[in-house]
Amino acid sequence: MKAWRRYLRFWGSDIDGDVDDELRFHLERRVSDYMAAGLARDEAERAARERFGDVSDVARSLRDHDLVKQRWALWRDRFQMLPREIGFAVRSLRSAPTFVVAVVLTLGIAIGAYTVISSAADVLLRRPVPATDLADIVMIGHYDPQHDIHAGMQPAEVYDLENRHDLFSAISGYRSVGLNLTDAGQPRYIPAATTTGGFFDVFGLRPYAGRFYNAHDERFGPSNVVVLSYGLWRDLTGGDTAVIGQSLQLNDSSYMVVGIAPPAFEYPLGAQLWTPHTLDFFLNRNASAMIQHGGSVVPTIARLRAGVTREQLQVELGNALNSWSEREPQFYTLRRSWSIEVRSFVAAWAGRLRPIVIALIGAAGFVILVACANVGSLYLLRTTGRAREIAVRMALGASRARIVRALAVEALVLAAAGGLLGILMTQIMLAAVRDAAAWRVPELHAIRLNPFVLASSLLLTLVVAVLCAAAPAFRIAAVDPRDALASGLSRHSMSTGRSQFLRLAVVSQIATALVLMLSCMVAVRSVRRVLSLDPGFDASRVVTAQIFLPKSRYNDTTLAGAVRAMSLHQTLLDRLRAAPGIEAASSADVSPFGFNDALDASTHRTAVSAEIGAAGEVGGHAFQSALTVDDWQVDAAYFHTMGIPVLAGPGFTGHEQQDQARAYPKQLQLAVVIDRALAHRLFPGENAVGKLIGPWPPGMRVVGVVDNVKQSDLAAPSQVAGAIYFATAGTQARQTILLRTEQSPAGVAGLLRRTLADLDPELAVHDVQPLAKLVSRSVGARQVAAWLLSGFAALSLALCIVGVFGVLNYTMSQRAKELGIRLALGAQPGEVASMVLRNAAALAGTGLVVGMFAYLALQRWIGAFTYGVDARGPWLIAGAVLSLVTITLAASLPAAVRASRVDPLAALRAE
Amino acid sequence: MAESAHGYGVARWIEQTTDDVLRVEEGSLYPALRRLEDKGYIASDWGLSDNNRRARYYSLTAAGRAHLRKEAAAWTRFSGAVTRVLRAAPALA
Repeated sequence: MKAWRRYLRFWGSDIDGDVDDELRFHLERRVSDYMAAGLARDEAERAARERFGDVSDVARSLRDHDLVKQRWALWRDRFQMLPREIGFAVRSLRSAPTFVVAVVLTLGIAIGAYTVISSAADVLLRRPVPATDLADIVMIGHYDPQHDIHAGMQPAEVYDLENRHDLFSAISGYRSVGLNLTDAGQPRYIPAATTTGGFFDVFGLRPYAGRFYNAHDERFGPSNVVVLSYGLWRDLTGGDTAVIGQSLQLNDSSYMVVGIAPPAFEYPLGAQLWTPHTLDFFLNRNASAMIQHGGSVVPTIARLRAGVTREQLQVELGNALNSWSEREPQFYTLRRSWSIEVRSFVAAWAGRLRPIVIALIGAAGFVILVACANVGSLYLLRTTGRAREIAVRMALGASRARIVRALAVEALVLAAAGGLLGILMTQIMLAAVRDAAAWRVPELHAIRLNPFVLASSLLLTLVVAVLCAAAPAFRIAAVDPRDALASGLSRHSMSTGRSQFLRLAVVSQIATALVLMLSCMVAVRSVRRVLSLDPGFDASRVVTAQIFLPKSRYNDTTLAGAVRAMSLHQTLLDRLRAAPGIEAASSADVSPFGFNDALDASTHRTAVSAEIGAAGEVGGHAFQSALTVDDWQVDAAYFHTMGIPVLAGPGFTGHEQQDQARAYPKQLQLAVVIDRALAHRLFPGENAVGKLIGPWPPGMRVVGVVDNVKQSDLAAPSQVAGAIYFATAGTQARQTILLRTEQSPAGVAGLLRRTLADLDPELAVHDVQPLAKLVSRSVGARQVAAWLLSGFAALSLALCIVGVFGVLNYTMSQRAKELGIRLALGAQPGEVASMVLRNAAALAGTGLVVGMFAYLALQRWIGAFTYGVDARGPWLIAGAVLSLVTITLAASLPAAVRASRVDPLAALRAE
Repeated sequence: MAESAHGYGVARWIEQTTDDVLRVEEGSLYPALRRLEDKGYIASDWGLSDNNRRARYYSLTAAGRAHLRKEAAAWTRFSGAVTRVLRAAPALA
């Protein structure tokens, strides 16, 4: 045999043989032609090979080419076959509607639950804002370790840091505000933010259209420019970029639209408008304002310069704080224990919700686990039941590969249906979350269907579905059709491996149901528990509403503006009090539980200190330490309206502001009311009424003591030393009107709008809410978590019932012959039934034990939902266990009844 | 040339027709035939040769014929042009 032939022969199969044959034919013909021309054979062969060149190389390239071509042809054929196979799968599935419904529902629910939770997690924990390089964005602010308070920065500090180009590539202080849009008819309230110039640079955003403002614009350009959110722009113009360059009436000033933000950017807290503002707006002009506004801190975000680490920044800011302290000792001494804190933006944003979200992801994971177990056992039951059909098809000549393929296509069809349902469920659930949860958990307002999350969960289900279908399919296809047909056809008995899988599935379903049920009970009880706590005021029948006074006419830093604001406030409240059905009316800067978020709440805290010594000697005191207290700006009717008991002293007279205005520019001692906690802290065992408190001259005179009130969290112990009330409501830009009335919020809104339209038609009334609703919003995250957990628990319970019912029913029918023999040999129907029930009880017992261990092991995460409820309480656990046992046994009853009614003759004959 | 031919036949035909002026590079003949087949200009099938050996026969498809006509016309035009240039070149005259 010639060398090149041996070489070619080495590559067996069709393609190799063909290439081999073709080239060999060529060479042989050339050899015989040479020989005909008179060459000797060996000479002719050498010449032929020389003439041809590298035979093996050519052969290899031909072979590669042919292989690729063959593979393509194969795939093309397969895809051409697919529609027919899908049609076949659909027809075959139509004969098992219960199975289809069960699988599709299970898959759909699992995909939906997982996608919603993951989308929420994605928004909360990873990408709260559509910005570039989120990891480089930090939130900086003061931190009070004593009270665990995260506050913003002082405006002057922000300006100082703007020059630190070695640390930041951009930095911005901002504040959430409301603006009255008065362009079209009725004034409309728009949530907005005023920011310093670097705001958009921090997020690294590019405008959807037009341009953003920057630090230069803020300082030197016209300040009346505005950037619209994508949503507001669509809403106002229907999507017309011609609006850029035109003007909008906001707070009765004209603002020019310069740009449109990219879609989905609505930071902070659903802002729809951004305007540049020098921090003048926030700067404090005098000490009393400083006391009242707690130094007016602004939330501050920054983008780290490349190469700067957070640790480095921390050190640099510590140095900066020292130099600020030297410059303004009076202010900073009061905050000696405070430090500057650098947090990652995402962590700062989602910090509060992180444990709950992680626990919910775990719960969703459990649901998926149960769903997989369910789909797996459903498939196992179906394919086992189809053993006969498959055997017949194989006997009629279908190949094994063909059968496995058919089963796989069927699984794909089901997975696709489940996926579609999942997408639908996700959309519905996301809408529900946006409607119900976003109000309770403002961070969730940005939640939307995340294509990556959806894709990953679809892929996951696809894999699960195919695995579930493939495992039994291969086993079935491996069976010799003759055996299957001979051994009682459809009664093809289940192997131990299979029934063990089914038991395992049921046990895991029961265990998961127990874990989720207990967690859900703990969460629901905790919410109820928290809501039953006394906030310190009577929230029933109180309706709150917000108004926002534009600075142009009601500037509280000018006397005229302040007087105008005060008179508007006075007239408004007088008219409201005179209106029918209004029992009491009052106003405050903000109501308890009326804060947007934790940072908002922290700006309502201030530092005061006890003045130790006789009245009149206030000045020149060095204070040992400052106390942080909640700071409320209210009017004289506030305590009455809110139902806050006045414990001592006359309280406010209602003339405080007029007195102050009359004495202007001299500052009177401010009259303040303090709460019981602060009175006890500053003057233990004494009557606080009449005492002076610091820190700055001329001091503040305590005119009353009221009971303690929760500021924004029912459950958490108060982080601060108490509360201080100033009688200064009415002059701030942001005002909350509080009305005690039987009327509905809608009625109140109408009344307020009518009354306000008389006084100033440019002012919008917004956020008209019952106070009780605001209070319940504070447990929003817990409540949403409890709902989701309840949903998950219900789901896993339903899956558990389906699992127990299906598996027992099926194994029972598998054992019909055995049961028939037992009954024929004299067993009582009751005994047979109790045997089935014992079987179920054993499964339930194992599941409950496993579930109990899992529950105890998961305590750390379940703690995220727990408040004031013993998560390991014996009654709680006994209740859950008992109800699960009942449910399991109830689900196994049909199987037991069927077992006891087996007709021995029929069962035996069927074989 | 016949309706269909095997690779060797193609090579021989070219050599004989051109009196051995064009000698086919045999190593690249077969890959070239594969490329033509991929483009759909020729089709191949197995058949028996005149000495009863199994051989792969290639034939022009309709698309191949059309393509050949087009390319041949272009080539004729081109080579005619070159010939005319050479005839007119004064150095050769």
